[in-house]
Amino acid sequence: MNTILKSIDGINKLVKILLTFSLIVMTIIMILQVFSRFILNVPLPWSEEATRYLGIYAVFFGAALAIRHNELISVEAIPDLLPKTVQRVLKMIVLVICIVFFAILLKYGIDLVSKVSIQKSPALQISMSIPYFSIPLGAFLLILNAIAALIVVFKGGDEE
Amino acid sequence: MSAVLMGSLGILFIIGVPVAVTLGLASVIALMYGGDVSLLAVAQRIFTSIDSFSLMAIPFFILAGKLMETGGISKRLIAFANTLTGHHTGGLAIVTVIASMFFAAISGSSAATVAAVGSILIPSMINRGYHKNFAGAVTSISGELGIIIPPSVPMILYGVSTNTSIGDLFMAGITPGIVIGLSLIILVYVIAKKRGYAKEKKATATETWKAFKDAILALLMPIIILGGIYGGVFTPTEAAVVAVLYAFIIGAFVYREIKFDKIFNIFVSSGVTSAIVLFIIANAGIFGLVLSREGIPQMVANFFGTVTDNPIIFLLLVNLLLIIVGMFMETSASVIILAPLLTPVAVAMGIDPVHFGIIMIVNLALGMCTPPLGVNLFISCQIAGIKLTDITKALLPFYAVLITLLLLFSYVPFISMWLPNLLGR
Repeated sequence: MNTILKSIDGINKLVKILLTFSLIVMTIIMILQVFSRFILNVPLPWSEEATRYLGIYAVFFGAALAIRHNELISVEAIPDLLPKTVQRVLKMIVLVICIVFFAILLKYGIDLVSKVSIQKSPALQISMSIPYFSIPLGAFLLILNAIAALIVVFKGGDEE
Repeated sequence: MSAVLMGSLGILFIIGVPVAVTLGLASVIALMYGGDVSLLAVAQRIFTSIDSFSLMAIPFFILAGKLMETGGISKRLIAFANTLTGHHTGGLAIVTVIASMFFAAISGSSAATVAAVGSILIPSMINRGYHKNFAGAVTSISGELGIIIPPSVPMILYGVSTNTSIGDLFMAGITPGIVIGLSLIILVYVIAKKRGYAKEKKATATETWKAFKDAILALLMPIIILGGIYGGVFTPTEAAVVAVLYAFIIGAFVYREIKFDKIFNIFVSSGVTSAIVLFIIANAGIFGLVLSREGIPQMVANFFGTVTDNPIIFLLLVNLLLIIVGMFMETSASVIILAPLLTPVAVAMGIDPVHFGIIMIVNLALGMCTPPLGVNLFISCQIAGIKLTDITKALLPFYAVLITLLLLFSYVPFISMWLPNLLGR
């Protein structure tokens, strides 16, 4: 199980780089947009669309990293009242439920990507499969990280 | 189908499934039960609900906040506030409120405000003989200004989910934020006087001038952000990017406190923090789809219609509901779920959606300082080294003041609305 955990965390290093990359590129595109409109008086037609699509990828990358350390917001008031061992079992059930949901997203995300492949995005004129690919990719990364979180709970608690 | 939706929603919430997954999965279960919609629409909806340029302001504002926290801006704001009010009885507590107001004007989140101000001022207050519980309480409560004084992440969420102008919401938040800040200063002063808390030594004019010069670049920031948005120069998203650039340049080249090896971590943690919020919105989109298919917004409207047609009673009920929700739910999640349901009812009763947004935000901000789930409390208790149960009693006088102000803002729309109205929206 340690090998699985290590490989997932290895993949996460790449995810962190991709997340940082998306945010930096979004920032640069937006600076270009403001610069181009004010200084050159030429509004960029593609910049907002590019920022939105990159932002959606960033959301999926960030959400995957968040579930790895149980950072997704949940209402813990009632589980907190339960004895520790019950809490642990409940935590595992919750993660399995999450995995089920992400698996549904993965399946229908893949279907969606192939369905929209002939559509072109309005401004960038790229295939809509490219932005929509964020869904199956995100779902896949979410599943991996939910599995990692599950392993940590199963092994009995806090790794850090 | 409504029963299936609400039932699964309730069960998933109670056992502690993340809010985002709860919203998405409960909707999927309801749609599968209804059987007539392809789940392809679910996948598509999760994409389209965050495919919004306005929402992209959120990662940029969070990034700007993190850059300012690491870039030495909060330290200089606190030093400046200290030269202004440190010499009064309870000086450090008053400084906490003022520094939170400054920080709120450049950051869009309460948690960031509590962390930035509290990590410096809670230890200083405890050193100077303030009670730990009081130090924690002042910091948590002042932190709620983070989302009331613009920029504000929950205001962006409210604006996007109800089609209300984010610029107007930002302007409408300024006066309530200042009124809350001033009231807290008075309350803190009265408590400090009663307990005989220390004063700091009075700063000389030269010291004040030097602190002001150090902080001036940070103090200019809100003018650039709000002036830019309201002057029609920037969209809120562009203003957020300008804030990122500004914070980065000051932190890295003027104050020279952002080390390049730390930048990677700043980006990752900002990305994760934003994703936590935006992933809820993505899934709330699916939930909204199911709600409107079932005509649930109409049912909510009808329900309030049968209870009351009086806006005064309606606002009282809404405030009660939000205080209870705020105790158990995180602010952004509450805004995303409740704003689209409640705002149309408010508008039908003649309440301005901008004013209603401010009521929701001020109310839910209090929810960050109420147990059992209050982000501000968690952070300040951790810094002060106290338990949630210890701090609660110290919070009671603050609750009394804030609830009074909440009612004032609810029933006197002028306080929020004069500024956006003056600027001719």
